[in-house]
Amino acid sequence: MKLVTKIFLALLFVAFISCRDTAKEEAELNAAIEEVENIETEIETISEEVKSNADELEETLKELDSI
Amino acid sequence: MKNSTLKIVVVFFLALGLTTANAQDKVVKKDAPSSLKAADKVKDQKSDFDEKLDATKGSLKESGSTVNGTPDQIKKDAINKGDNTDDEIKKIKNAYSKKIRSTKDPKEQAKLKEEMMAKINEIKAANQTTIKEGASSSAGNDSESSSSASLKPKEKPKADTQVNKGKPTVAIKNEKVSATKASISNRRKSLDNRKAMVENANAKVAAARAKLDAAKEEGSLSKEEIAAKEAKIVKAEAQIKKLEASIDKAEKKFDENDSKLSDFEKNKEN
Repeated sequence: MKLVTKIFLALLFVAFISCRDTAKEEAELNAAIEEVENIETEIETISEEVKSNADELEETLKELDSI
Repeated sequence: MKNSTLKIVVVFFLALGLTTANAQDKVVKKDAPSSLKAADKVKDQKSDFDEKLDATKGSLKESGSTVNGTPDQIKKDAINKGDNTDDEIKKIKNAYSKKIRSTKDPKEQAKLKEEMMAKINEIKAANQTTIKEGASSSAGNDSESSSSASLKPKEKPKADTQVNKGKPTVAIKNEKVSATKASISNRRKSLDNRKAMVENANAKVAAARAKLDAAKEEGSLSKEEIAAKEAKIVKAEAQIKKLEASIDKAEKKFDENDSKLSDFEKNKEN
């Protein structure tokens, strides 16, 4: 086999490997980002819940003042 | 072609590849802190805005209690409408960010971003019109005119769309992880305030109960009055328990999510 062919095949192999790795990494990263976004949403929901409970309690405490 | 020429060509391409990789690495390192700063700035603006909004809501509540109920209701509806708009905007942003991430072509990404901004602006404009209508129908009161001026749709500070342009996803992930961690620590602080509120509420309930017991002994209250006051106290106690439970739940979730984020950070270091 000529040297040029060898080099060409080697480059092709390296390119193939690197492309596959990049795609896999990107998929993993996207999954991670999605998970972080889910965490964000979850945190926001819980905080909203706490806030609404606190607001309700505040209203009730105002009523208690009249006792 | 001679062997020496081939070697030169191979070495040239290798050098070119290494230089490009190095340059990309530098860009990532350079971009990451500026993006974090931008994210922090956006967060600060958001908290300022939330404070303003809370203040506006408070003033609306107060003005609604002294004036008649109708304008108050209109404004509440307007605020609710604003909340719905936020949800819609969030949904649109999430959907488009997924699309943008999956697209590699920068032109396509820019097009998607433009589309997203157009949709968001449309929703905001619609919301603004609704709120203006609500505010104008309740005009004629001094206190209201000032509150309606400050009652604008929840304009969350826009994140710099250029920040993420052409940046590798690793940097975006790192940014998101750091931002979420910061947000968790802020929310923890607000949980501490809520805990203090629970303590105060417990003290108030105990004081109210003591007052009621004293009134019972004096016999100055009728049975109906005693029952009504007892009901108020019981309601307050139930809501304290509810708040405590939600605080516990939130703390657990925060811990859980914090450890998840730490795992992400460890992966990032690896």
